Amino acid sequence: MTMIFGVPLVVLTGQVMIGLINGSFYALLSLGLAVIFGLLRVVNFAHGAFYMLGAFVAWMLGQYLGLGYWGSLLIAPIIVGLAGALVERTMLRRLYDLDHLYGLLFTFGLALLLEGVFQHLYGVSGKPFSAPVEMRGVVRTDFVTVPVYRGWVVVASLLICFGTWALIEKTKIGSYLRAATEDSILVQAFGVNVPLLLTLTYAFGCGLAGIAGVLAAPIFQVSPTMGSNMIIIIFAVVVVGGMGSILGAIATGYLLGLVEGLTKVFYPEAANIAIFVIMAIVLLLRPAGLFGKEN
Amino acid sequence: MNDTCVTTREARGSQQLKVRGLEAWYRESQALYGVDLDVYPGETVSLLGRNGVGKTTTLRSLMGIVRKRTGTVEFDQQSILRLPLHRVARTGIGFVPEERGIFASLNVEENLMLPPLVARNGKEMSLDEIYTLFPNLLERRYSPGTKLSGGEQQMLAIARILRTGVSLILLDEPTEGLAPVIVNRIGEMLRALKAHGLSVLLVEQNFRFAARIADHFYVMDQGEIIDSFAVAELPGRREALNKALGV
Ligand SMILES: Nc1ncnc2c1ncn2[C@@H]1O[C@H](COP(=O)(O)OP(=O)(O)OP(=O)(O)O)[C@@H](O)[C@H]1O
Ligand SMILES: [Mg+2]
Repeated sequence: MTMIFGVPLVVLTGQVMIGLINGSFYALLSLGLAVIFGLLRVVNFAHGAFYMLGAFVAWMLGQYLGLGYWGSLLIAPIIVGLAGALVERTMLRRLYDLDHLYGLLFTFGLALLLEGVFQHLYGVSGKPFSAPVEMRGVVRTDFVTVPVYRGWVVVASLLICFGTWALIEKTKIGSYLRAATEDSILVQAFGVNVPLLLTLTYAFGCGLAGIAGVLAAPIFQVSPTMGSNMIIIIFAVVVVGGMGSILGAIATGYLLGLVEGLTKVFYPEAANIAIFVIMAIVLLLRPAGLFGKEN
Repeated sequence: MNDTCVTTREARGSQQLKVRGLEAWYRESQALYGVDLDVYPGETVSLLGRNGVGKTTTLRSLMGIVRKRTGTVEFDQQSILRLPLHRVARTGIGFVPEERGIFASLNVEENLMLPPLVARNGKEMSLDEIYTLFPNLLERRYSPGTKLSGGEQQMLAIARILRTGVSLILLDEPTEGLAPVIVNRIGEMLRALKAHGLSVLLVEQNFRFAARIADHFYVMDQGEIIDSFAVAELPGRREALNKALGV
């Protein structure tokens, strides 16, 4: 058996895979958080709740409408995005002129509300959600053992992250978003419907969280608390990466997922706090984050 | 006002922009105390005044960036005071801010293409025409907008408004901080705009620059218009002007 640093290779690659999978969720979620914060200047505390909502909507679509995984993967994020648009239109936008703290408090309250509603309706225990039949196998080689579904999650997350990056950096609507992130008033004075852009951006960010939720459903269970467990880590990821940068959010997500996975191999006791230790160090040395602009 | 001036202005038709009793506030502090001014079609009007008298605030209030306002603002006979900010541009008014507003995260071409077209009236310039007029922008079209020199950024800020087909441009101190050669280039540009039939409301501290281009002048002090005269009356006004501008 091949060993590296006294650890069997298969164990090592297994943890790297787990790190990549966790990193996939971290990247998807912190990406949405960064896009929303960049334009709206709102720290979206409800991001974990929208992730949970994505998983629950997928489960409900299956349970009540008999919709399969692929259908849910398409429809659930759209429903979550619409929910985000509704929240932005009816409530969040009233807070833009107030101190940023209000946006944070509001989204925090919203997260508690959503979590509470689902706990009330479905209890705290998780709902099982199975991977699609064609992805239930396992790929086994000499160096690595990967359940097909987990491999799919990594690929899907990479595609979505890269697609989002391309949307923001390479398209016309992306140029509106980048410009409005710098000076939304001027962009609106040029005739761009910035209030609509804000709604779309919030909806899009929430939709990304929804996608992450559906992807996560077969791996973790669908439970009302899955979002609040996740959001703490996501905030640490965003603090490490720095709020402003899209690529930074993506890269930091995967990076911290990997670090967390590898810590499990070499020093398992620290695995749960590795990310927070890194966060503390980054805050000490580079308060704006690895990819943030110091000013 | 003397007669030649009045007939000249009237010969242009009715006011394109008509402002009466415009007052504006930043929160509780009032910055404009009743501004009256007109821009006739195709006219270049210069708004003069010392630092901090409210020239920028006037432009920002006309555009709708400063929201707390009262008075009358009519553009092509339509009241624009209550329009949402993004609807004002679509009536045909373009804004070139004092700090130029070039976006660092957009390259030169993206900066150029950013403002949506507001009209297809033959006044809009195509990308090709802009690049022919400003070869530097073509050369550097993939550099970040803020990597351009100050003069190039000013050209870019004006050029991107020309692309949209607006019929009135609000231009805030385009020559500020630029070398004399570049100031001349911008002067040529403004004359080209005029020949093209565009109206310009030009805020300037550089009076000699404004005097070469404008058809009509307003002088501002402490949030009010204190004087208004045509270019023909300029020679007789020098002294009073120098006093008002504190030159
Ligand atoms: N954002 C703001 N908030 C509060 N007060 C402001 C703001 N901007 C300008 N003012 C005040 O409004 C008044 C007019 O300012 P404005 O910028 O319109 O002057 P200006 O004529 O353009 O001056 P300058 O020639 O220096 O550009 C000044 O007293 C200024 O201090
Ligand atoms: Mg000014």
